[in-house]
Amino acid sequence: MDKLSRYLRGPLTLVVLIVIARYFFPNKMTFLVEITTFSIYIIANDILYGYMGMVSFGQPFYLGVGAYASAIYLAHIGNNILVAIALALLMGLIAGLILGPAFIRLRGDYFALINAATCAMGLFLVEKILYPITRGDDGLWYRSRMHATPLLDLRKPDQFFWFAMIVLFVVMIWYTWLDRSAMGASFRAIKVNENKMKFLGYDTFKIRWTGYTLMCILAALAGSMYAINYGFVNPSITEPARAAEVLVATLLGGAGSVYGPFFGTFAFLGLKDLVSTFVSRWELAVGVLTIIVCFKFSGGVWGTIQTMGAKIRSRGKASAQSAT
Amino acid sequence: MTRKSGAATGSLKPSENGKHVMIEKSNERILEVKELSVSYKTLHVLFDVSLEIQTGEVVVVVGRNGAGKTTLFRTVAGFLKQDSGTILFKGEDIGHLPSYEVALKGLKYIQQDKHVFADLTVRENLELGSYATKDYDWDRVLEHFPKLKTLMDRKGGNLSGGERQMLLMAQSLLGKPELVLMDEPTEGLAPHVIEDLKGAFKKISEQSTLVIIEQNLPLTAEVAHRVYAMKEGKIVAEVADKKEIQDLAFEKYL
Repeated sequence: MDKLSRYLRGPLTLVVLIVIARYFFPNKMTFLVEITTFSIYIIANDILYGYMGMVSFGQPFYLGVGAYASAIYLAHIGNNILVAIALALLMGLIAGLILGPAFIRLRGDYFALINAATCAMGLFLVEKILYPITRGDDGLWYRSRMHATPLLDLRKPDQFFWFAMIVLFVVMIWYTWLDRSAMGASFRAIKVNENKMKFLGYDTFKIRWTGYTLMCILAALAGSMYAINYGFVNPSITEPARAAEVLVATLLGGAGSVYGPFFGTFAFLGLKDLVSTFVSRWELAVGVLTIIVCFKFSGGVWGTIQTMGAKIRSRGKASAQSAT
Repeated sequence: MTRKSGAATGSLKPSENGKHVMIEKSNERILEVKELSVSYKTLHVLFDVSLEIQTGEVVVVVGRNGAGKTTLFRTVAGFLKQDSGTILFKGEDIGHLPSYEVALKGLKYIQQDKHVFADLTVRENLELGSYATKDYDWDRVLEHFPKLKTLMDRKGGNLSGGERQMLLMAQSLLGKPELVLMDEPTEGLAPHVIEDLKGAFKKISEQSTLVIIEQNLPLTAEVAHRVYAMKEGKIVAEVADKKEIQDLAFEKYL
């Protein structure tokens, strides 16, 4: 029971805070849903980058896989939103299983660049080659084709909010488990010393493939949530230029930590939201913040919170000891 | 100087408590390396190296820097591929296997660099050793390194050199490897730590065959049943006589 509560406590607190924020700032509900969806996207990248140390410049491609899988189904084939989400997850799995064995053989800059190239090809694919299906730059519009889902009608933004909370809660529980599991430890270990993992008896190829596939599935889930929330998808979702924002948000939050992706997303989108109300080029502020984080706060927002918490706890202990 | 190994006698037997598998020194060959040649691209490093390790032995490989000792270990462990020659572990050719499969067959290699997983705690480091081998019997392993029991929640990066070496050895002993290759385990360690490790070597050698690369000649004299001396990529001597080992007779070959 105690072990179970350790996995539930953090994710539950996070979701409760978002729900409270929704009621305090009712006009920010869309923003909170965006944070939730983007957090899942950043978690996907964090598995790859934060845990396994593999930098990818092509994350929008994996987001696009899920978004277009759901969008194409809803625009041309069916009306069931839950089937659209399931299809996106399946496509993420297929992408991971097919592309993984080829991509994860590459290291460092080559891995980053092959992902960038794939992302560029993905953009070309949905923009030009698959035009009859994707309608190119015009995008796919399908909100009116979506049927109501049982319990929560995901077509309605206020009910989609609750769905997003449930998804975030489940993903965060799983991510907390991953962080504390042997699988999470093996991800972190191959980042540090892959050869040593081999000497311990690990097939590191399979570990990296597993991590890569999990990344694909989670990114596809986030893409699918985007597609359903907006009822519209166009090729801008897979633009290679947007790969940087994934890395920046991961860094801002604190790479390789459970709550880093959420705080990174909050910092990134929050800053974007705030700064863009005053100046159009919000990227400048995010750039400056990223530079500061890189030089002064390598643990990101979450890492800094943890460090401050540890300092306060140790001071509290020290003062309690001196009092006795 | 050269020794011929005898026929296999079968040496594995369970201990009294049934928990440990104690091994006795025997003539059964656990590892045979035959005419092994290895290159790093155009640089030829090992030249027709042949050696045999019998079950239960503690064999020390000595040699100056650049003699090819680490290359020999890395090749046996499956990390480097040989140009020619064969590597037989318990009679099976392992020369073509990847390093993780070699490890799972019961041949573990502890690298020289003393790199533990710095971001992981001692517990998590051990869990990684257990997860690969499905051996969760930490009590058996930690009895050799009781100090580690008090460091379970400490990050690997915050351990001293000696503690790291203990953790590496403990990690490698999970899965009950039959043969452990240790690359300069005492390098850079304080004398009192080396004393502790010496005791650990003796205990570990009761459960696994040990092959150690060691520059510390007095330690070699103390723990080795047999010594191979390497020079310029070749085995130049094999000393099996305990008296000769204790007199450091192999030093003249270095």
